[in-house]
Amino acid sequence: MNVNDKAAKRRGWIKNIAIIFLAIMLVLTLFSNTIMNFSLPEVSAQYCYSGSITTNVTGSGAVEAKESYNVVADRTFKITDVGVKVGSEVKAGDVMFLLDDTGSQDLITAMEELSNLKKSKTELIQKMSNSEYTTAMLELSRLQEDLQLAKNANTKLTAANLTLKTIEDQKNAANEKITNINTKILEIEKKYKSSEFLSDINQAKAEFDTATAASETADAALKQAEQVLKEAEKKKKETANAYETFITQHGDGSQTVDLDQLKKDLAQLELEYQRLNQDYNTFLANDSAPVNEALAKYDELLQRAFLAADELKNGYITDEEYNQIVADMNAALKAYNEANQAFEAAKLEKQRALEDKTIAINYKKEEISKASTNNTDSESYNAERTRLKTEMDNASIAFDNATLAKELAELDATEKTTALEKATDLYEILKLKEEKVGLDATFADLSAQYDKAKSEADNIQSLAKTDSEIMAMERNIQDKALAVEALKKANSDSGDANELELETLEAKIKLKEEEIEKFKDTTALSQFTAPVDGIVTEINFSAGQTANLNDTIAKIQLVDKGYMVQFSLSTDQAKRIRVGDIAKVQNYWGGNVNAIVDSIVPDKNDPQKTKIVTVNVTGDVSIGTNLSFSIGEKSQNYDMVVPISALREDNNGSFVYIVSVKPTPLGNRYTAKRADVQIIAKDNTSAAVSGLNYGDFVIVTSSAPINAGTQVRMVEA
Amino acid sequence: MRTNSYSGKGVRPYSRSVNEKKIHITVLSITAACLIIFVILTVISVSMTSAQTSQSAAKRWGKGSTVPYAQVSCFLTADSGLIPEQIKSFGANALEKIYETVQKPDNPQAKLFIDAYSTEAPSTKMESESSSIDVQPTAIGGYFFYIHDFQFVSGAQFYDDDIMLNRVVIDTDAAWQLFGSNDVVGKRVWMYGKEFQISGVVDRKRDKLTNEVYGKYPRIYMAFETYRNIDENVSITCYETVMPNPIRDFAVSLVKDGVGGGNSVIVENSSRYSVLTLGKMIPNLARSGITDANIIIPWWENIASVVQFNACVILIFQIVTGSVILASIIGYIVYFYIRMSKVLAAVRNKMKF
Repeated sequence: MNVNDKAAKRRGWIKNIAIIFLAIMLVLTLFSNTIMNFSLPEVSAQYCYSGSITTNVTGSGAVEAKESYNVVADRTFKITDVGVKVGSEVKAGDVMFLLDDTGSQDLITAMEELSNLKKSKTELIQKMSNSEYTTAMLELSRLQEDLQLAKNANTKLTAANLTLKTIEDQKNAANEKITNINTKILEIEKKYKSSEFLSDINQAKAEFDTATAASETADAALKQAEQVLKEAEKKKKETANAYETFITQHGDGSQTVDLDQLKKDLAQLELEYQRLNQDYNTFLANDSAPVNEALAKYDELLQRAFLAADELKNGYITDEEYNQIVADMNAALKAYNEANQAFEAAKLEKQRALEDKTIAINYKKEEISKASTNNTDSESYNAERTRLKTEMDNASIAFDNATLAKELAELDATEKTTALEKATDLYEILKLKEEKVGLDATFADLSAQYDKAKSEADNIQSLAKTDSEIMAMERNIQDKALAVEALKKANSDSGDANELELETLEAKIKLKEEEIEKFKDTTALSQFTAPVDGIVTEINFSAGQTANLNDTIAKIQLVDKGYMVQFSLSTDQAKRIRVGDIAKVQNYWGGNVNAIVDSIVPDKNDPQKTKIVTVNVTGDVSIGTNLSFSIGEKSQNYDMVVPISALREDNNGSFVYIVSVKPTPLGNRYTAKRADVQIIAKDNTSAAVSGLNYGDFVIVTSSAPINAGTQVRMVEA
Repeated sequence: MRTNSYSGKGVRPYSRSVNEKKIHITVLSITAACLIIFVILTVISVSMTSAQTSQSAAKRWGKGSTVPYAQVSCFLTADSGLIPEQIKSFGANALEKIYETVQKPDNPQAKLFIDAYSTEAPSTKMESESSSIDVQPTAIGGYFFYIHDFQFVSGAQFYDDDIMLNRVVIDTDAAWQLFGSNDVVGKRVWMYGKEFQISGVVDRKRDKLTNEVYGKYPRIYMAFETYRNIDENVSITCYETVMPNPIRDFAVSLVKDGVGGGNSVIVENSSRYSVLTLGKMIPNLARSGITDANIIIPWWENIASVVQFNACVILIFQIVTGSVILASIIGYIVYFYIRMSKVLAAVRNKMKF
């Protein structure tokens, strides 16, 4: 390979490298935008919008009946089978549990024990020798029982009467409420036509809420209109005053002045002044010469007089000559004074003439200046007058418009208030009717209770005794007791022990008899039945277990009393809702369910911080269903709303990043720009802010941390 | 063959023996290797520490401020008895002290000082309408999400002043296991027999270290006040704040006096990866992980501690390699000085004759 080949090969390499380099540069240039874009943080953004911020309170809980019934074991029994399960609907009398025969065995045992006790009692009585004492004791015992029965009946009667009174009071209160509600209903019904009333309380509540919001908006608009009117009135007064002042100062433009003539006069005056000034200067130059000459002469004679004085002293001249010299000097002084006085008088006269002319010129100038402003032909006068007039007219128009707007706003506010009153009435009447239904039911219930209590009281009345009868019975017992005591004393010492034993036996026999009665009532069935209608929500025993007396074996919820859901809220949360608020069910699509807040009461466990909210539920629900509610929803509209995730914060306060777009030949460049905001309100998803403009594109999320000025890439839709 | 123009002609100041050349090559190779290692270690250290966003809240919050800011954490025992009311009281007192040295901001909504508190609750079941999982709840309050710079995949955080505090933020693991999606904001879940609403979903890191300390259950974050309704005796176990630090240790001493009394560990997060702090740590490196077993150290602090330990180890290697580079530079300066002195002496001698 010779040297030329080597050089050619080297040149080929350099050429290839240059081509590759240029190709790479070309590709990089063409795709620079794309390459750069991939290195930028990707952001998603959205326009800030006008929207509403909604606050509400949520709560959830399981549906349960308003009242529940604890099923309690009235004896000891063993359960062999459970006939119901949690959620089963039962009617009173339905079998809930099948029982073992333990109950019958208890009865047999109890009867055997009773037989033994009675046998012991007979033996004891036989043992007691003094039969008269025993008989007296028995009689005393019976009398005491009778007295106790009578006293019990009296106590029961008093309690029954108290119950009757209480029920009657409640009835009266309910009746009074019903009457009040009826009155209110009638009052509302009188106001409107029958066709205007609504049947659905939810609709009425919605309309009420809408009317409230509309009324609040109208009131706000009225306030704003009043403010605008106030400002317009102020502006109107200000502009009118400004115009008035201008007219006062510069005239109304009716007078016209010949400005050219004034200018000519001024020129004439200035010419005259120049001439006078010239005369004055000439006068100063020429007429001062005689005065100066007189002064020079006087100076000369004065010098001569000084010399003459010396000469006289030395005796060169005589007194006459000296006197002549002095007389000449005085004559020169007099001549000078006269010439000077004449000159000064002439000078003063000329100065005054000049001053007069200056004043005349200044006055003329002022006249011209004023005329140039006041003259209707003057451009500046017209411009200023027109400007002030336009401002005054505009302010007047604005005032008229504001007055009209305020009147319209007043009309609107009045209309909305009327609508709100109507919506309130329509909602109120439905609430009242609903309340009335409840009160009617309560009243009917109380009436039934009253009848029942009355019947019981009547029954007890037959057993009750008067005070005098009780007193007679007590006296009889006292007599009998004295007789027994006398017989007891007569009896031997062994009588005390027998008597005590007899009393114990009688007590035991009584208890056993009661126990047997109870067993007789229940045991024969060998099954436990539901005492009330309802839904079984709790079963505490299963087959094979033994329930003891007073054990709660199951819980039944009384569905005919209605349904409710209870949940707890903090005190702050509870402040946002009211009794009677409609609770929106959020998670139930099974059917039509209505819910209204029934009560808000402090939680017994934490009365200061927590409240228990009870929501009455009606419609297609069943016990155990978990419902979520949204209550007390309040919305307010704002001009600028951004997603809450767009909000950022640092030591300078809250801010958002907005996208700033800059078009370039290679496409748009997007840059994040900081915009400080003030948070006005926020809910779970959005925040109302101030400090943004319409059309601002707010960055919500970013694939990497960004700062103000960071170039970003928009997420592809 | 190249010839040396100085060969055989008088003094040869620039000539070197073969041995000398070998020494030079060896020294320069070692220096170059140390320089490369030093640069690599620096890059690793910086990337490792800057990834700890939960330690850089002071930098984010104090951006643009003329006053330096510090982030301070205080870790306490489960029975510390610290409650949000005490935190509020401490905040008010701290602010007064801050205003003694720092001017009040013009913007009334701007805050000079932020803080957050948290405690880890026992793991519990979280149920959705279709599934149920075990989760690790953390009860939080204040600027917790800001300080830890959580990245929200969807939704947003909840705030202490929200009307309803029954909202939770869940991590992507919980979102996946409960719903199979991250777009679950507003969905209802149940915990402790109560209903909660999902406010947002946060991403979690999946590096080896995070996986080791994050815990076996997905994490969820709920309002401290809400958890206090469930466990009324709960105490705050972690307090974190970002505040102006006009003089060194101002923030640390405020936190120490106000919150840290008793059994606690106080860390100045904003300076924990500085060379000075790491340098001070070297003598006690072996004991750096020792803390009182009763003090609750949260998972993010465990990660930050491990990173601090690693950064400290890297610093030791940086000191070693940096020393080699420095020694080499000084050696060469001395070497060239001696050589130049000899050359100048030779030139002067030559000029005399």
